[in-house]
Amino acid sequence: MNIALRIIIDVFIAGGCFFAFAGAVGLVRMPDTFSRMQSSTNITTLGVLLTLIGAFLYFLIVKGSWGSAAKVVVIGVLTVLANPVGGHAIARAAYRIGIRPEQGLAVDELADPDACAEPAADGGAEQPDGAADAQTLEREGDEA
Amino acid sequence: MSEMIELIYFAIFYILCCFIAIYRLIKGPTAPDRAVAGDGVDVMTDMALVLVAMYSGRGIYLDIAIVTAILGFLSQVLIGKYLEGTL
Repeated sequence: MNIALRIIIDVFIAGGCFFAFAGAVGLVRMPDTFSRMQSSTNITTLGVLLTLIGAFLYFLIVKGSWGSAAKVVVIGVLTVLANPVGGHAIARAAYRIGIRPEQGLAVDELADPDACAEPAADGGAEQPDGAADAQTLEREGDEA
Repeated sequence: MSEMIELIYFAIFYILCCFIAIYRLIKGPTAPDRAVAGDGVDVMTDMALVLVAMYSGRGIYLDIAIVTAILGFLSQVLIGKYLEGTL
């Protein structure tokens, strides 16, 4: 095997290991829930992507296996698309069950109970319309 | 077996990072802490599986890694919806 190619692949995978280690340590050392959530994205973005770039180069150039390289690309696309969605769901759930950051929030858009609300299954369609009308009236009143 | 022996050491390093995250999974004071730590363990296990697939030259580990990635996403969204009470 070409030694330069081996060094390049090892540098990519070692960079991924570094970011995964940083994310894991931040997961233990960070002070509150939202900080830990932010630190864990270190694992799922740079840690995963650098390791998968190394794996893609290895399968494509060293092994010459297009199928395995495609599987690696599928894993990368799944992780990059799925983890922001899951992180958003868990962060909103953490806010809803009453967890707050230690130092207070500069902007708190979820404090409005209608913000990002799930549409109710039965008969809940009228109340958000009324709220929207009220906001529109307030805005017009401010402009006037 | 690949001639790149260092791949298995990288996989072992990922598993050790998993144990660091498992500490938060056990100790974490709230449920979102545990969910986030569990997702970190899931993703790092994915990467260890990819590295083992590179080392051993068997493509079956890549299929297992794809399934684990999908299940990690589903579990994270379901735990979020359950905690929010809108499941």
